Amino acid sequence: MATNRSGTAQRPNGAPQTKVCQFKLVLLGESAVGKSSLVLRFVKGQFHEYQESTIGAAFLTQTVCLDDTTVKFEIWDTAGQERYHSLAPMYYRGAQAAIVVYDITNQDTFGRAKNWVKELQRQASPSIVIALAGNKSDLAAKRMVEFEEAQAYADENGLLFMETSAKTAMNVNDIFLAIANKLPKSESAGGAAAGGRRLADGDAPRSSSCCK
Amino acid sequence: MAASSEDQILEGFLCPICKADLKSASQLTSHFESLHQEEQDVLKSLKEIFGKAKKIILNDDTDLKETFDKALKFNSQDQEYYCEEQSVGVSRSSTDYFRAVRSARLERYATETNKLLIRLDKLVCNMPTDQNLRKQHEQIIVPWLDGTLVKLCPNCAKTFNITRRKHHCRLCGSLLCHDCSVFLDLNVARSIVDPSVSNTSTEPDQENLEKNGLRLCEHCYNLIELRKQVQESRNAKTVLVTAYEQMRSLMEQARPAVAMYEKMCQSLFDGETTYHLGDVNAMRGKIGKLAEGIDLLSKQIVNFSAEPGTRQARLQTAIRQAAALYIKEDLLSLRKLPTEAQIEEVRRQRYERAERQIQLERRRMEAEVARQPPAEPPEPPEPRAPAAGDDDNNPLLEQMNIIRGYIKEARRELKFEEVAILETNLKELKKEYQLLKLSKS
Repeated sequence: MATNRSGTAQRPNGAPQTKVCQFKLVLLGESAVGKSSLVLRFVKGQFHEYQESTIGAAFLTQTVCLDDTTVKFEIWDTAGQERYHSLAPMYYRGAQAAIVVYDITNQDTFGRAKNWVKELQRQASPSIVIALAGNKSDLAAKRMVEFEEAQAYADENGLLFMETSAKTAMNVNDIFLAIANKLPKSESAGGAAAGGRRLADGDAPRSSSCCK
Repeated sequence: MAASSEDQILEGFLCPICKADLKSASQLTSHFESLHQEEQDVLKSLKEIFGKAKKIILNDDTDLKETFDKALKFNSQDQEYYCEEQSVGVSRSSTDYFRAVRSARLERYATETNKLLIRLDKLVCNMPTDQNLRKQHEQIIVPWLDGTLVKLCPNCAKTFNITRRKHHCRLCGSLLCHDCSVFLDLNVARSIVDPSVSNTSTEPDQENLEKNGLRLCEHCYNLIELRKQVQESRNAKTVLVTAYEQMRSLMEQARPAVAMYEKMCQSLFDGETTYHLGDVNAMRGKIGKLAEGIDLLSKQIVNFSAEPGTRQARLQTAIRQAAALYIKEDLLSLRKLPTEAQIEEVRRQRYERAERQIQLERRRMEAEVARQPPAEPPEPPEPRAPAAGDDDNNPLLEQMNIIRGYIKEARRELKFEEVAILETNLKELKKEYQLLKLSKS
């Protein structure tokens, strides 16, 4: 009797009270704006002054805890170089969240970021949560993109917006947390995620049929 | 000196014979011995009285202890005397009275200790390093007693002079001499007011302690020390608790591992190629190791000495039983793995099913195309696809290799959830690459 009682009491105690949600997140943006640095800062808390340029797409995971949910990010850090752009659609398809990064000291990267946002709005899942990150905010002295300008653009397009710095870690965790907060975390979130992926699989043959 | 009038109360070291005020005990004794020698028996009793009073004042422990011991012995003899059966007579419970007295005392000590702690907190935070500034800082927080009229150390009753200087307790501000001072190390003080600061410093040498530590009177020091001990005993983890926490953490690890194993197993039975048989075996091994660890720790816990029948003994047995039950029900009842042959069979069936499905789809598509005029399909998201001709340089191939590397790494670290994600991606990449080739050819 005693055995049974303690045995059954064990499980409700030990059972995790929080639900776990897994989300696919993709980073997009011009090369050398700091996508990999942002991820490295978020996942490992590190910063490398001379971060090598990414080849293809890098894959990392990180878990964050919200009040009652554990959010597991499956992060795809895409290469910014032009020749890898053909890979990007594979990664933003079926993603629940995207961070579009630009460099606040470079106006061109902001223009490129706008293009990425447009492409996401057209091609990605309609429910995708998009965040705009103005990186390198530690170099505010050399600023070329005004905060207000970017904020206005983000408001217009319903994007989350923050100026970040992978170097000083400013707003890095915050932007990921803001995304985690905005993502739907119903019990079916995991299923929806899988659904999203399956939908993406369905997309592929359709595009193939047109290519033929 | 003549005796004074009746209504005046004399005070001091008075000679019992001539009522002269002799200022100090030693002077009185010598006066008595020289002038009133004839009254020897009175002198003897006087000496005794002084001796006792002195002992009490000086807290002479050894003597007091002797007295106590004597008293106790006397008591035990008493007990022997009364050992015959005796009925309980009229009794009265004094518990309430005792409680009232005790709570008042506890209250007093608690408030006093808290007051001292607040002062200690103020003292140690922002304490200036410069000696003079530090003195000022200390006096702002605890006003020091004015010592101009104090001639003797209130603790040991020795006179203050040029070699025995007046000092102040930093917590209550009272006067004391150096010999009666106790010093509290600053790091220890910090760890008392802020338990999150761990006191890792080694025992400081006496000289350093007297230079940098806080000078306290014995009373304040004891109160602070008592609080520190309570704090430590509250935070200290017993070996049992540590072992239990280790066991729990292993259980926490085991839960997702089992879930993952089930998923991988199911995937194998379904004929999917995401995981290899080796992977699932490795996972099984990992779970086995965890079970072993839990078993070992729970055995350790049950073997800790405890009085049989006490709550602790019951708790220890319960932990062991729960762990054993958990291992038996959750960890050892894992599904058996399919054999290679079974997997082959399932995969073949699946492949055939897929083939049939594809055939069906293709026929349906053809029929649809024949029915509908060719419409402009939506722009595919791969407009920037580079030429697939230069195979060595294709980013898709490059990426496939990257992903293969990731998969190998994740497999090595037994992160099978990641393996699944990456395998899915690899499949997508392969499909994409084939489509690209088809479209170019």
